[in-house]
Formats: sequence, C-alpha cells, structure tokens
Amino acid sequence: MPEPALHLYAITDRPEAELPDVAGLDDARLCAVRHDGLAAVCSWATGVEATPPALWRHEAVAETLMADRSVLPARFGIAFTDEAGLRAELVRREDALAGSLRRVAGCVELGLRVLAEPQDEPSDEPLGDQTGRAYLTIRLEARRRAERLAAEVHGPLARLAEAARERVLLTERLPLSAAYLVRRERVDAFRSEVERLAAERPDLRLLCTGPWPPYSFAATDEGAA
Amino acid sequence: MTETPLAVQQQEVTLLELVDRVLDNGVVLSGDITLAVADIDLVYVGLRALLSSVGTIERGGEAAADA
Repeated sequence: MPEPALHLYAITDRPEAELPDVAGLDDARLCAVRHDGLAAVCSWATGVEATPPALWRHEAVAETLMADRSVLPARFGIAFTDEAGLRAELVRREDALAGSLRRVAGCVELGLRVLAEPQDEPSDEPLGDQTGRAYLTIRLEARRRAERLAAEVHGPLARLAEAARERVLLTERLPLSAAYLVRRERVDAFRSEVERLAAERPDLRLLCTGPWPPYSFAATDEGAA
Repeated sequence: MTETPLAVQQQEVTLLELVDRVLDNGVVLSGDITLAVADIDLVYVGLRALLSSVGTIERGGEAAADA
C-alpha cells in the first residue's frame, strides 16, 4: 500500500493569498507550505499515477491559481513525504524560484502547432526509384520549407511575446511547434495575429492552445540542482 | 493525411499539448518521490495511440522519413 505524500502543483508568489476552493488529486483540499514571498501549493495524495484525468486535475489547480497570482507550474509527479522536506527545498531554491516568478509575472503561455500537408513525400514514391541523393534533396527542401515557415509564422508571433521556445521540423507534417510567454493584455492581439497568419497561409493549419500556466518557462536559472 | 475536422484536431492537440507540458515541462523540485520515467513514458505512448489524427501526423511523418 503506497504511503500518502504531498503532491506539488505549483510555486506561487503572494503566500498570504487564500487558496482557491478547488479540489486536488484524490479530491483532497489544497494546502500550502510558505517561505518568505513564496508558497508551494500541494495536497495529500496516495499512489498518484499519470492518467489523463490526473493530469487535467493537476492542470486545473495550476490554472485556478494563475487567476490571481504568479505561478510556476510544477512538472507532474513531484511529491514529498512531509512538509519539512518541501520547505527545505523552498529555502534552498528561494532566489532562483523568486527570479523565475518575476519573469513570468503578468504573463500566460500560449501554444502553437503548425500542421502541414507534406510535399514530395518520399514514401509516395516507389522505393526502388529513389536514390540516396534524391532522398536527401527532398529532406533538405523540407528543412528549408520548415525554416521559411518558422520565419513567416513564428517571427511575428515571437515579437508579441516576452519569450518563446520553438522546435522546427519535428516532422514534415508538424513543421513547427512553439510556446510563447505572452503578457495577459496582449493575448487578444496574439490570437488575432494567429488568425491573420492562418488566413495568409491556407495551406497550413495553425492550432493555438491556451492560455496555459507557463510550464515551458518555469525552469529556474540555477542549473540542475 | 485524412481530413480530420478542425474541432476534433483542436481537441486532440489540446490533450497532446497538456501532456507535453505537465510531463515534460514545469518547474522541478527535488522531491522525495518522483514519478518514474517508465510510468510517464507509458502514459505518453498510450495517449499518442488514442490521438488518431495528431498522433498519426507525427508517427506518419517519422515513418515517411524512414522509408
């Protein structure tokens, strides 16, 4: 039988703020471990598994907290056997965590996936007719297309963001996947820009998700501790 | 690529984006208990299998690259 443990949802500022009335994993009440200007929001849970409902619950807690404070959402699956262990981590990482919180203050994360119809897909050709050189040429062209697309689509969006993380040409059908840290007051402008870009490029599908808590920008600067 | 309705694609992308965020990003503290990487991989593969259009977009692309 697994022991109950404190499952971590997020690190937040405003430790004095009341915790929202939203249930955590196992429908447990949220609690917080506080240190100086930080709060680690957590709840007791037993035998946590990474099922879709559990992931959504974790996300719901982080999202609710984001409504009235800055949050560093935690990776799913970090837990402590007691409050003392969690407090020790807060104390040890205080400066880095506070720095990251300042960086994401007033911002949300928006996600973008660009889906494309593959052109000159190698698998459409009879295998025997393709030389290695022809294959490499096709791959190289796909790479160039993805880079042009990144410049056309990612560039204007990155200019509306405080920070961005992009991955180019994951596959030919997913040439771009990106995350943007966007000030709340610019979210509408960002979405309008996505619509404008989508209208300009009917050959692509631009799927924008969020606002998310800033998962992609929550890492601290101090390196692997 | 089979033409999947945009709304379905959007839903699938949202779930995929959630998984990428909560399991692969976010702040990491050194907890006493951390979910095993094997468990996370299992969920990830399972979810991808469920996501018909987006899942196959990525796998299809890789298969094409291997051809």
